Amino acid sequence: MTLPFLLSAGTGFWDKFQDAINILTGPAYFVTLATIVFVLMIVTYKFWTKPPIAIFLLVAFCAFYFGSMANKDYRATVTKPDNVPITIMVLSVMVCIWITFRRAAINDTRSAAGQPYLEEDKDDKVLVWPDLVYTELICLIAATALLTIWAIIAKAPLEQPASPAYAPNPAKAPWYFLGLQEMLVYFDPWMAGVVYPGLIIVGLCAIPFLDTNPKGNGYYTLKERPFAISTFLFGFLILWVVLIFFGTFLRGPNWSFFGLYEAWDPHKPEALNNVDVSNLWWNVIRGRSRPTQDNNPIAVLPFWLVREWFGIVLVFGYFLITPAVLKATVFKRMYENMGGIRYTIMVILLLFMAMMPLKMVLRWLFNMKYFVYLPEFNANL
Amino acid sequence: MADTYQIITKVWIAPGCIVCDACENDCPEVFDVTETTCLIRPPAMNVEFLKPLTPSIIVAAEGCPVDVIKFETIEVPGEAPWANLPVPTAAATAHAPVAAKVIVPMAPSDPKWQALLSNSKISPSLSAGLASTIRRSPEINQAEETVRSVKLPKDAPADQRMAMLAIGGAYTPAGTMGDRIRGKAKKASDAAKATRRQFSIALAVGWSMMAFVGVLFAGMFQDFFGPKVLKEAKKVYRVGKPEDFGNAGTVYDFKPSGFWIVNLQPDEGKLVALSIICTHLGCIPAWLEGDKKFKCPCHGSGYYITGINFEGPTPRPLERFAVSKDADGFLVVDESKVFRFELGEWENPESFYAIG
Repeated sequence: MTLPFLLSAGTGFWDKFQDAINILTGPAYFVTLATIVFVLMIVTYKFWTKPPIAIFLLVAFCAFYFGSMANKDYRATVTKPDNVPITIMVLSVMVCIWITFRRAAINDTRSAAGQPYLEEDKDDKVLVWPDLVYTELICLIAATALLTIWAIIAKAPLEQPASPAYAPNPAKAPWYFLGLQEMLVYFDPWMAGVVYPGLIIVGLCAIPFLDTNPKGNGYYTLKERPFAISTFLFGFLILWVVLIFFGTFLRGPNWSFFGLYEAWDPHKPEALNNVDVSNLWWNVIRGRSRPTQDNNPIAVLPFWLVREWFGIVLVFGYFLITPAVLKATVFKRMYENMGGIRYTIMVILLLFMAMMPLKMVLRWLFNMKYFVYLPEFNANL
Repeated sequence: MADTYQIITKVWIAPGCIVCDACENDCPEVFDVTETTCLIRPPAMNVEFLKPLTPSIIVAAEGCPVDVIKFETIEVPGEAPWANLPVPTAAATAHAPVAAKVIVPMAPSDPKWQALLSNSKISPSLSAGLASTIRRSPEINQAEETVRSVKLPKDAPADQRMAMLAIGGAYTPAGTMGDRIRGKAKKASDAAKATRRQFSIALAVGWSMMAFVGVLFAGMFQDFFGPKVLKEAKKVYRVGKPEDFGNAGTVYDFKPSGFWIVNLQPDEGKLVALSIICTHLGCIPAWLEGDKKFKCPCHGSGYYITGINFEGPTPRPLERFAVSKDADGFLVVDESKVFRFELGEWENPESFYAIG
């Protein structure tokens, strides 16, 4: 589906609206829009965090989110007991982001005017007893009560007994793992199942050692650490929350993409003939079939190396040349501040992170599958 | 020259002591700093005992960094006995560099009295027991008996009784903190002088325990994270006669046994057994008759009827099992023999059964 489709689709206004939303929630459009919104959020944070505007945005979002339940396919997704946490997540993420950016906006305005930070003005020391212990006790009771009531109202969505010969369609991970499951669509199981989760954990642990900027310690600010905050939030919001949203709302039977208001048709036709970079080089550019064991144009080299040389060069270029280029250009001052080792680790982690949206977009737009495709060794990238 | 002077009649410690030892340095006769708080020594409950110590108590109270030393005074006529008495005390000399700044007037310098006091470090536990009317353990009773048996003049300060008991060996005063630290240090240095043999044994025992715990944890890790499956031998199935699978381009479902029998006609004259395990992450794909493809519901991997992957994340084609015909003319699928396309194994004649 493309945008021109809009001109002919549907009959009434609401039909057109739903068709438009269905198209805009296609993965490529959605991620593009989400990134634009993300950039706007960072750039205009002093504007949108003003309470009247923030409340208007929240109300508008809730009107859209809950008003959409007029559509029965959407309603079936939102009201599914499995998906209640998604609603809670979406709303709580929005509120938390607002609090952070609101306080950062106030602090940045104050520091520009030479006033002390918000958090400096008040003495925020509290006593463990009674302040903390009371709060904890009340939260504990409230959370227990909430979980109990929730468990009574929404029954556990159990299905038929498990069978090794049957998988539900679609087979979805728990909601908090949907981002990981989405990653598995684009990467080799080893990459998405082991390397990337490991890198996420190790990378998060490494942040305190990589980030030597002492600013923002104990108070909210965006102006004093724009790179750190926007990078982290891009990873969290776009590469985690948005992927969970994908997995919940947009992934239907056969793990195909469906629009937000689209019925989940298990026979939706989708042309997804994947191509690898080696296909691009040999089949498209060279106009011949890919080398095999018996058909190897450069016999001294192993055939898999001949087949995949272009992708291997691309990947090595990405991980070796990009850091040097970044060092000489946009990250020049950062390199001087961080030193070689810190900079290298940071930029490698950053490149791994950037590879995810890169590969996702290439998949959606060109059905690109692997840069390096080596099934002989169970190694693909 | 004043006609009256102040004497202290009562001294006590308000809550909040930080155990800094300052008061005990200024006036050891009255204050006993323990590890948790500061106590007033029992003899100091006596007004007569406190009277001559008034100046040093005041010094201690003023020197207290948290101001928890409280006292009551009364005014008495006459000239203070300590008015012109700049006597450096035992405590002052012991801490000469600190105490040199202030010359603290102290208790009467009766040598016998000072000698007694210098030995009168009273154990906090014993003093607490003596002051208590609730704790009546046999030890306390016996200690009280001993205390009563000491004959002293009626007006003798209580501390004198204690001091005499201590000298007589009726109880052992608690060691000072310095003594305790020195004791511990000596023990440690003795331990450090252990022989080489003992060291080797300790090393062996220590590493054995480390190894034991390591093996235990590895086992627990394996038990917890390892797959909860029954390991059974790969099976061989007899599925039917070749003519039962005669329809061209048809997938025959044997999912509970773990494979599909696929008739690859008209492109190839073969019957093959495709594994139902998705080569991506092990889900079970479904055969979509309308789309003529196997489609995995977990991550959207798609395979042609031949088992070749063409869409989704799966890195390689479905695996094939060995197919053969047995003596009775039945097709037999042997799951212990696996053939992988990317290794060129589908050319192997065992991997298919040729038809028509």
